[in-house]
Amino acid sequence: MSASSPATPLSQISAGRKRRDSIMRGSLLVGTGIALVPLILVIYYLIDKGISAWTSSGFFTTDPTGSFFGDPGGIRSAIFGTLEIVALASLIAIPCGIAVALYLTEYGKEHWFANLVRYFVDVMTGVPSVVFGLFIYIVLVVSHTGGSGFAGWKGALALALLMLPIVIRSSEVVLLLVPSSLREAALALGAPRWRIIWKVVLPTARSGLVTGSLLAVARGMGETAPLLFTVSFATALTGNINGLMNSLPLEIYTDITNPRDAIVARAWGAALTLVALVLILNVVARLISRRSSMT
Amino acid sequence: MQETRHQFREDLKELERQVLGGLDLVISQLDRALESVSYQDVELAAMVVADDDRIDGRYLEVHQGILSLLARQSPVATDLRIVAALLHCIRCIERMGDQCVNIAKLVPLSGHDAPKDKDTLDAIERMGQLARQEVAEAKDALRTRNVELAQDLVRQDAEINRLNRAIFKRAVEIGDDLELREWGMFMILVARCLERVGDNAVEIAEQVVFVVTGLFREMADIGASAESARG
Amino acid sequence: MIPPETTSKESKQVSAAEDQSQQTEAAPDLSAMGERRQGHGIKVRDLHAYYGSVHAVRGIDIDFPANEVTAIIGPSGCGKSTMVRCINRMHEEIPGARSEGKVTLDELDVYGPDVDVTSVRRLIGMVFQKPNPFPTMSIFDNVAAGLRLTGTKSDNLRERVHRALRAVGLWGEVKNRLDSPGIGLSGGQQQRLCIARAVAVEPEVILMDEPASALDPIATLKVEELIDELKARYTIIIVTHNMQQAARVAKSTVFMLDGEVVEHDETTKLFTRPSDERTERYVTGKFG
Repeated sequence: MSASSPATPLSQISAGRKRRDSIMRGSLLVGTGIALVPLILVIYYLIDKGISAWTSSGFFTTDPTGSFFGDPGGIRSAIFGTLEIVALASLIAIPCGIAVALYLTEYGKEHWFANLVRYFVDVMTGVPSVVFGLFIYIVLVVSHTGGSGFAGWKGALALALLMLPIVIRSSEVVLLLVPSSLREAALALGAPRWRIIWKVVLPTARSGLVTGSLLAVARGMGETAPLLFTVSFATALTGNINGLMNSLPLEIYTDITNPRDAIVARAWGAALTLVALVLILNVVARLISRRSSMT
Repeated sequence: MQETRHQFREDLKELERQVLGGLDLVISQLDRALESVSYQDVELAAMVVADDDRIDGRYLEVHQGILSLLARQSPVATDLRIVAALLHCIRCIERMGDQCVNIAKLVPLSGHDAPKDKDTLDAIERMGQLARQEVAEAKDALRTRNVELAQDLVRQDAEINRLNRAIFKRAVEIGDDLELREWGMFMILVARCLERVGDNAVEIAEQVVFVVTGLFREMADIGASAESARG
Repeated sequence: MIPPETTSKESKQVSAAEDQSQQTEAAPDLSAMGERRQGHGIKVRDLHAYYGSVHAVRGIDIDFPANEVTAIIGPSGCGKSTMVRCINRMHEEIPGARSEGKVTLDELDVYGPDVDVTSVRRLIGMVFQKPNPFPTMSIFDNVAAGLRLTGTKSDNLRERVHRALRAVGLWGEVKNRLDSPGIGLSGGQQQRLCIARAVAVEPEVILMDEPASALDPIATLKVEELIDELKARYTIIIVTHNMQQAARVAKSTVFMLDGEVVEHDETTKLFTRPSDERTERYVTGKFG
């Protein structure tokens, strides 16, 4: 403790700084508001227009009749179709994606080939979804591979192609977060590499991998264009994955231009359903990640 | 090369300075004690006794300083040897101080105008000179870490031991003279104190060798065996 | 055929032994690991190690005697960790790293052409600076991890895990919560857990790379006590930047500088009367 002179007082914030601070804060709030407005509007419109369809009888329990007159029917086949196609797409994309991510983090690392793979994955995330649809259309649909033209599994393939880069990217990030000290510890115990991956790396990264995959699934659920060219449209509830199927995005696409109000309302109801499904998936993903976090 | 552990090195140097200063104190005490014996100066002897407090105080200071250094700095290698040696040396200094006090205490006891024996007195004076020289050289050896000088002290100490035995024999000789007998016995005691001072100086020299080489050898034994070989 | 009386006497003996063991649960109990085994030493000959073009270890020759603790000290970057990692072939896991030279565990050449690297690491265990228990595994699973990850078929897995925990003196503290997560323990306990994990695999040699530098003083002392116990069964090589630790724990000490061995001697001698000027300067803190 020194000095006979009094200590220098801490200076006050100048008026100019205060003003600048409030201007900045104000503009940030305005920007946030501008960004939120369309989001809120969308949700509002969805609920406003779709809730009437939800409450109509048989919305979830009947298939669309496809007839122009009379009872339009519900969207049961669309829901089931979406679930079937997306499930198949996930079955393809998720294991494949995680495997590629494992290659990149555990084996490839900085190797030139691994970097090449990463580059292509990045490119694929930017490819418009319609391109995947067209690709499958030309390769599988036109050639009537598997016996039929349009088919549910071909749609699933297109969606898988779409989901794959997302799974790879998010999985790679999560796998890189696994501390290398854990791998070192397992190596020092004398474990072979594949066992280390299976018993140490994957369990540690599990919640992050699940979250990433669920987000990819949520994305895949909502895509219309790929399904348009690969699955086309049907109204009946069918388990035959090798043929035409209904799906929520296509149901919306078909119904929204219909002159009948009831059918348009059904389209809104389907849209609301789709958003609800995506929301549920997001909530599940968040719950899982919170339940077992790594940090 | 950058200077690290600056405070530690300073502290260690300071401790060494205090020990060397202690040796200076011993030399001055020895000088005055010997003078008081030669001139039967009782007042001077009393001063020697009183001033021993300074040496005792120095001992406590150095002891405390060493404990503090060991606790705080964990010295190793040469530093550790120096610390151990300084502890040993300050004890020797304290003992040498006590020997000077013992000499001084004998002065009033040996009478005021006692008859003196010239031979004994000469021998005592000679012993005193040698002892003083040994202490001075021990201080030098410690200060400059001079191993040869340290080892030479053993040779000098042999001379003191010889004089000690000579004084004893002489005291026995003059023991027949009743007037001289008591004085003679007191002189034996003085001689013994001086011999002890010499031994302590040799111990300090041993510590010097230890600091420099890391080896600890009893030099007194070497000196004694060499002497007995000479006969 | 065992007569019934003997069995009940046996069970009484067992419970008496358990009572006794409860008293000493806190102390490391290596007798839990079974009878004493003949130890195995490591010899390093002309070892060179590189990170790309950087020559980190330059021609090292050291003998690590069996059942002894040898410490390796030296300033940062002198190559001590690198050298130790060459012993259990962890060095080659780093991209761009390579090594040359000979490392033998008794007669076994660690770098032999037909040698499976994972079997080397089972014989030469390692404990790291920062405790790294597997976060998704319980205490039990962590200790068992070594056995499970190496695919060791073990019908007495539980027993081996319990023994390892006893051996490191952790049994008393965790016996009632073997299923709780390994990362729930304190830093010192986690490090002892990692040591138990290494010990459960029953290696011959244990390498320790600054095992206590991330721990508080009490935990450090416990780990050091444990090392003292462990040397009865294993050969231990410990890298440390803490000279006092080397002095407390090791019988002999190696001083390394710039990738080379400067001095290798009995610990007491190295710290009271080092032969090399550079060792003297390092241990007295004149550089480093």
